[in-house]
Amino acid sequence: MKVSREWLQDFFAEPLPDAAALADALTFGVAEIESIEEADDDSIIDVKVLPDRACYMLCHRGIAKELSVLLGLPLADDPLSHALPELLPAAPGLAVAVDDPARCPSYAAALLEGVSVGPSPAWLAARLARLGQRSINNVVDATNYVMLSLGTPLHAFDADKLSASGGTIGIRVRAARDGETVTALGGAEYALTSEMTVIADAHADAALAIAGIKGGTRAEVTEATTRIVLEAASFDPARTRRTSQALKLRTDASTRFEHGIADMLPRYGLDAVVALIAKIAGGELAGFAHADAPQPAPFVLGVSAQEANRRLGTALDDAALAALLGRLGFAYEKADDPLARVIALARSLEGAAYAEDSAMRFDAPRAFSCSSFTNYVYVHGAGLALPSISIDQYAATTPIEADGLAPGDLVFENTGEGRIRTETVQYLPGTPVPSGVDHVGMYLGEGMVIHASRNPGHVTIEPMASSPMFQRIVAYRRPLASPVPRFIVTAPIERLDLRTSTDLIEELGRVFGYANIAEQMLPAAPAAPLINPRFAYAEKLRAALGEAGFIETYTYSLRETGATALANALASDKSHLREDLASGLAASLPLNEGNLPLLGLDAVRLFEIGNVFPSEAEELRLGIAVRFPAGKKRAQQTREALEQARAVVSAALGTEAAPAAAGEETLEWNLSMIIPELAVPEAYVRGARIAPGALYKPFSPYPFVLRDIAAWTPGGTSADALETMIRETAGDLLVRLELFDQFSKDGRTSFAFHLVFQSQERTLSDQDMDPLMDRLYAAMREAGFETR
Amino acid sequence: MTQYVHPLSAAIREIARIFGEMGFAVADGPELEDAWHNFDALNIPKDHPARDMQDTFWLPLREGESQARVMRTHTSPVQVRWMETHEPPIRIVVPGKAYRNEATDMTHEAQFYQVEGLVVDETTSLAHLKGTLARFFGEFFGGAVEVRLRPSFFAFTEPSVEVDMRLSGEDAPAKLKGKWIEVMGAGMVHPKVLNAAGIDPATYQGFAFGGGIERLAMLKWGIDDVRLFHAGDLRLPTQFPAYEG
Repeated sequence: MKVSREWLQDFFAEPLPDAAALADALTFGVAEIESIEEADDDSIIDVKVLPDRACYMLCHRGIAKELSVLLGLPLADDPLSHALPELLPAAPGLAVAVDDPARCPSYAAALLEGVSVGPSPAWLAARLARLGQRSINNVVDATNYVMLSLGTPLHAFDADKLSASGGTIGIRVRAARDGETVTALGGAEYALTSEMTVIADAHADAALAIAGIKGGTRAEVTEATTRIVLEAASFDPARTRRTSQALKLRTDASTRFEHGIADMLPRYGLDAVVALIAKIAGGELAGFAHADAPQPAPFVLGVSAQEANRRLGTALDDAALAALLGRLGFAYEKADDPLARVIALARSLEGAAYAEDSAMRFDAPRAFSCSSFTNYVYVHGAGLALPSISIDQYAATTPIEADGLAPGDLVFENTGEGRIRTETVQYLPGTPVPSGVDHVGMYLGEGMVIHASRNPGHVTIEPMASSPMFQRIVAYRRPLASPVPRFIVTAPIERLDLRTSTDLIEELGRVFGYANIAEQMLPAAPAAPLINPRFAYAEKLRAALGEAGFIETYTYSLRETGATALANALASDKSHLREDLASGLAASLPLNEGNLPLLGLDAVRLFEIGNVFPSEAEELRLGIAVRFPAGKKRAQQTREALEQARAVVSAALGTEAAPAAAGEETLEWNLSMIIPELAVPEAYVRGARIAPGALYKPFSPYPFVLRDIAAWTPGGTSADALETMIRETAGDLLVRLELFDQFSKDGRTSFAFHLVFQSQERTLSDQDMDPLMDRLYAAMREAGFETR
Repeated sequence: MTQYVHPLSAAIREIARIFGEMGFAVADGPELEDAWHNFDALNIPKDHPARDMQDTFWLPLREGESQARVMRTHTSPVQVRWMETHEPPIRIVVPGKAYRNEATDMTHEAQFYQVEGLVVDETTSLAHLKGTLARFFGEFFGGAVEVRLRPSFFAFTEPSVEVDMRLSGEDAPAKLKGKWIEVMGAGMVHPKVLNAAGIDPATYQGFAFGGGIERLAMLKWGIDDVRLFHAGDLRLPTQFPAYEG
């Protein structure tokens, strides 16, 4: 999300610090910064808004709010702190309808008349341009501007392009029909399916837009437009995402909707865009229309200092925690005695209706199920959320004995009638609860219980012993482990990411500052760690093969062929999972053989340990590959090297392990078959290490050149002396020098060397090599050696 | 005969040794993974934008299969597999291969090794994460090290953090000394992950971390191209003779 510093400043009375300081505050407080660019006396900061915070941070207001929290600068006027816009008056000539509220939980529209569509004022066009947005006209720009300001995607239709019936135009949000097409703004045509949603002209039954993604040309706003319908809505995130992926159409709107925005947030956007258009395009508001699914109560959650400290490793006290919540701008209450509040709240609800399938956020405190009642009193009384189903409440609370029963404890019952669950549903799903649970109430002390139940059909307080709903009690359990003070927090409307105490603890931690959390060491482990037999034998094999002169490599798991194909390969030569190690190792032999002189090796001896995927299985394998230079001994050398490998592998495994496959130059073992048969080692071998301070040197992409040089030297001349002379004369192009022959005769010694030359910058030619070799010969002769 | 060490194996060996001394077992799991372990159990549901954070290689849906398999995009599914079969206290490290469907370049590779760490018990906190990683980086890179956490998001941890380190010891590679370097993602295990793996989130908590092993090796030994690790080219390991010290 690119944000403009100048635009952010609109939200503050006090001057903001420079962009670098803003970026710093965001980096250590909430989100990574991708870049900062300077543009026309403004700074554009690209903030990497992550999925959980997209619901409120994909806009200037959201990032301004974060800066306000992190820098301690108050927002001058937070648009979302205003009361929810009521969208009045109703527009006489406009109706909206939503077929399926699950697809579109809120839809609001405004009708404006007498609008003059034209170029945007310079300030608006400039602000959009700085963020890389093209200016289209004042109406369309206003919708984009408000989206970038408040995070609510908006759309404008030309109202005169909608069919009227009885003087009224209608918008209908409905499922697309299979094969229905929409020509999107810009001209591309999209064929839709019934899984997708459209905004339709209700009377013409024609699709105007792909819901939540892009508008169509049918009701496009043009310079000739004078009446507009402005849309502000929320759409189902998962469906928006699937549609966007299926159509390969990703827009600013679809990004926001697939992450989800609060259903009522669009109302603020609509209010703002109506005001902005009135200012820059004139016209008059005829009124609003809206269709909204029932809206839940604000989300309430809670936390204690104890919980926060346990997770963060901090030592916050209640005052510090209250200060952090205050900085975050969350509305909260502190419950000094949470249990007393829970009980008082419960008692105050006596008489509220019972409704078996009521949902807490929609129906409470008007109506309750047994478990929504216990949940409600704990959430609102103590800021402690319980699972929504009684058997899950059972699993999520601590057992207590009957004689320890205290006010506030939950009493679980198996009434023996109706739906008795014997397994948890969402909390540790599938955990058996053999006694069965279908009812829960809360103990009030002195033998009294409060519960919401079908019998007598409302929240009732009665003696537990005589309650018909508590004749088969299966357990007493306690939700609050310790009666410490708790904070009961109401999540701001836009913060869909704040749903659990863990969410709150993250907020507390980041605002407290992760830098302020002191490092702690883990206590000593209670037991020695288990030995992993696969890792143990792999390490043993690495050590043994390494000592025997085999060099470990890793090759690609994705290959051109194999038993298992990928559905979405990167490239045709990486389209399958490897079936074996030998093919990949064998493929690397020619390159390595060609480099033998450069590497100073007499032969290629490779091994790899890795997973392969023959048919439907996955196996851990060991592969060996060898390649000797061409010559009459090659076949024998190859055979011997493979025999040596077999012997080394058998010794390391402590058993005669038969290879799973053998090729002319390769061998392969299926360790997944072999290792389970072996004893688990008591410890890992101490494998080979790399010397401290060792550093990699980039190797040249250019070919190397091989030359030999030999010379007779007077007796007593050392190989070292010759080597020094050769290195000094040959310079940096000499990358390897190897003495390969030495013998004495008649008081003289002959030395013969392989010389490997390579440049980091170019391919060496004869023009490079001939003078170089001439210099070497000359230097030798000068020293009194006879070159051969 | 000179013995050579592949830097990837050397890095894994060091990781296993350092964490082993802190009581972590080495765990492993399949590279060809089901979507439930790779995503759902890690609180990354179907049709959720969090799945975009990882470009995934999918396998074609087989007949009768309700969920597709993937090449694991991280070693995190091993967290779930371990928790499904072990009771707390848990301390594991998981060095293993992971896959991302992304174009390769000097710093990106479609296959790479990742090390995952997981601690679950009743008391382990974010402060322990900081201390544990500081000790690891100090031993892995040698010398004094500072660890810095920045807020981030991973579906399977909360709080989630990016982990930066700064080496200041005498032995620190000159290129790294005094600079903050991003090395890992980490956080406190999300209660939903514990719940999905059958561990009571009201009683248990802990941290998890994950980072690329090639990246650690590149930083430590100055290797400039991630593609060298898996190329089957002896010009990489032959630069690292075994050290007898």
